[in-house]
Amino acid sequence: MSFILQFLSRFRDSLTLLVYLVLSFLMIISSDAKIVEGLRSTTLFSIGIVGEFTDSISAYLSLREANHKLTEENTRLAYENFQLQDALLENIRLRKLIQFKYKTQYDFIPAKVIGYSPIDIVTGILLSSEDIGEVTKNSAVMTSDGLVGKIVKLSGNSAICQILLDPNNRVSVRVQRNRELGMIAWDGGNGLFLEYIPNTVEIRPGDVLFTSGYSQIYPPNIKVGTVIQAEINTEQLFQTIQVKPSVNFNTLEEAYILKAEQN
Amino acid sequence: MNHEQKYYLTLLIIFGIGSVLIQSFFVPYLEITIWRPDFVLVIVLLMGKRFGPIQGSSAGFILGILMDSLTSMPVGISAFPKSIVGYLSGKMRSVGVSGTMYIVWFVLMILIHEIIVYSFLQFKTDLPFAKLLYSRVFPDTIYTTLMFFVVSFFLKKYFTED
Repeated sequence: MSFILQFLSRFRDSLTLLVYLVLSFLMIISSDAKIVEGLRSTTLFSIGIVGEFTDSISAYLSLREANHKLTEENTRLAYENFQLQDALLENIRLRKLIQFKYKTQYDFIPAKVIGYSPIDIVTGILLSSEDIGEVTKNSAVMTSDGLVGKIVKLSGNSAICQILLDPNNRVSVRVQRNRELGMIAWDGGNGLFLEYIPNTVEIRPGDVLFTSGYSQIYPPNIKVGTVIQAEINTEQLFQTIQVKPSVNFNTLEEAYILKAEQN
Repeated sequence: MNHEQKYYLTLLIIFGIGSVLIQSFFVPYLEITIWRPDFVLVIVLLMGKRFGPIQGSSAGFILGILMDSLTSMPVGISAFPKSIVGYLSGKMRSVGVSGTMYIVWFVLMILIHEIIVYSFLQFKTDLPFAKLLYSRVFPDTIYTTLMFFVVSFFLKKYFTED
């Protein structure tokens, strides 16, 4: 007994480290376990409250500037609206002619970006909204520029959104010009790769990518990014295609969470 | 609970949790191209250096778990390397390193931390580790090292033994 106590006392530094390493490893491999999920919810809830508080202060301080920008934006949008009214009427008329039913299948729930994932690479953003209770896990998140990511965790009024730059994230996309299907993945920096496009397919810089809709998560036709470089690999089956995301993740302030309408 | 333990907990709550909040809310504004400093790692290193290996690894584990809870990555990915560097930082205290070796030791610990983090992340991507090494690990190590010296300069009085 005294030998064990002596051993524990002598190596307690190393044993403590060993315990932490084993615990960390167990948590990594059981990340969906209830205790880990509970820990995540509690932390997100607490940090979400702090985030909302700091956000409300900065929002208050920048009200004048925001108001000025909104007035400018409002004028511009009003002008655009006049231009589009004609097109809309024509569109409705034509849809009636060919008996199309115009329908939006999603509600857009606005959410504020209150923080970023605290590890070295940006893998997620923290969102806050009073209506977040209506949202479910895996709901798509977008802005007017395009796709942001999906919701992976909800707690209180806050949520973690896994963005396209997360190493785990994969999105099925379609090239607008030639309807080719591919997969979007993180490129290790602030960009994306378009994967699984065969060397025989022509991809040009400037080609626009949209979500394909072949997913339970992302609805079709949301802009994802633009091809900036396509390189054919003679030794491989697929091309190396670099894509610039349509959303600038560093300047995100607000996003919309898509909620499927209940029929 | 003795005075030293109370002081450890106070620093862990104020600077530890504070660093997680700073990392989440303010560090994105310090981003240079794609590189960011890790303030939580800086606090873990300072805690280990001030209090020893057990407290260093404990700080690393607790703060790492908090960080992981705010990401979409599996919980434990940051806690694992931070426990190791907290421990190593505490060990440095007993070895009594000073001068140039002191700087080299800390750079080495930050580098070890980054290598472990990106080794985990590499399993989640199709990217070669060599690319992550030069595009992420080395620049992040340099940035965090610079921030380590800045932060330790300003918080010197709290992390120095009287």
